[in-house]
Amino acid sequence: MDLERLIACPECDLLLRRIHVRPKVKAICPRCRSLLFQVKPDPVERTLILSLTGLILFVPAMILPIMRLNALGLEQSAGILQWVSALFRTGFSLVGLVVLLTVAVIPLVKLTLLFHVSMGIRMGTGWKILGPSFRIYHHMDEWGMLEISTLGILVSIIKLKDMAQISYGTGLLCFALLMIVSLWASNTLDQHEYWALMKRRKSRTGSDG
Amino acid sequence: MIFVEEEMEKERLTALEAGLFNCLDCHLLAPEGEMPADRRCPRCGARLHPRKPNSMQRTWAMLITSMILLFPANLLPIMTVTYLGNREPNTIMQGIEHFVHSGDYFIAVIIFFASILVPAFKIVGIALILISIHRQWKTWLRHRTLMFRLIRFIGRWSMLDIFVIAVMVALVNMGGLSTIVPAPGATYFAAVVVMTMLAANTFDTRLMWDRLKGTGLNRRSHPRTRRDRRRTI
Repeated sequence: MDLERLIACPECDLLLRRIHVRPKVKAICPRCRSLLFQVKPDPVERTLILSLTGLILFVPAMILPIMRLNALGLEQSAGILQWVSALFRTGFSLVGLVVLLTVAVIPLVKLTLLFHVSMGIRMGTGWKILGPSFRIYHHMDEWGMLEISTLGILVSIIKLKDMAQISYGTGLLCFALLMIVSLWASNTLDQHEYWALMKRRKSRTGSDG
Repeated sequence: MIFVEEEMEKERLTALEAGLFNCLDCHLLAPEGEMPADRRCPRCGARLHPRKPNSMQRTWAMLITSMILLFPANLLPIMTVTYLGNREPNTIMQGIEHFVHSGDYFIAVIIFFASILVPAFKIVGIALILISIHRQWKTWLRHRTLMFRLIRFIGRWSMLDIFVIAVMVALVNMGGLSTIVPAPGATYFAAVVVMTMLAANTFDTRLMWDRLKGTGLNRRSHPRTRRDRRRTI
């Protein structure tokens, strides 16, 4: 039985023959037009490098102040962690929790899982935990909101510009880079190829032992 | 699997009709007959279901919850600005009016889209799709699927206002001069966004297509590619 040659559309369940496409060409469901898969060039290496870069950028992006506000000699600066603590301090812990999760915790976990899974595939170790890790990544994907919070920063700059003088911190640069690298990493990732690589290696070790 | 391939030649077949469960986490096709006792995917360990379990009920429940939450989210102030002793509560709509008055039309449009239009569009859109399944519509399937894809894609961007509040509250804290604190509407608004995202996640678009049962839109049995599309246009 050769199920490897078949693929089912996740949005309309149509059973289709798996075709070979050149890298970057999108395979689209003929019935509902959803994206079935897209072969990415060197997915493991690129994702590995980008997720590592993201992890390095993560700490300064969280700790360093994003921007500084100056009005009549009074000064206030804030980084991501101050956003969260300000929401908790004013008694809005649920909103604070949502911000903490979507801007800090989930992006960090996503990058760590990407690094862990890419490294695992590259080195050929830790197969048993790669599958569950990659599944957690898959479910967390849409809850990381770095790009939305970057737009939030831009909107608040425009909102505050008439009220006080704004100066930008190194944190803003690190945060913007972190956002770009994270988006890039999830874009170079080839989910189908990752699962196929995991499956192949698993069955090989299975036949050895 | 030759059987399936022969069947596919004659008529299009869904995975479920061929006795296969499509794992939504790792895209593995698992035959129903050889399912292990715990009904988990042999490759990734996700629990396998023919369709997402109780999809309609769960989606309705979360959708109705977000409809109810939408009222306090829009009517209550989302933040209170204190400037030189003057306390001024701001709802989402008042925030947009501020931008219009100060001439930042572009930002006004962005906030209007993210905070007012998108949540409303999401709730109405998902409700329409759910009703279409209850009424067993067989038309506009591609469009409905496309609309749902759009809803999933833009839904997260509603969180924008929450991040704006977070930045403002953290930065504008200057004692007697000026402070900004969140107001109850913010919590309701964040809840609306989370609820609608969860509603979109529990919904299974395959339920729409299940109504077709063999009468298809075309007879192709392999995916299209960009090159195909150019040829057909």
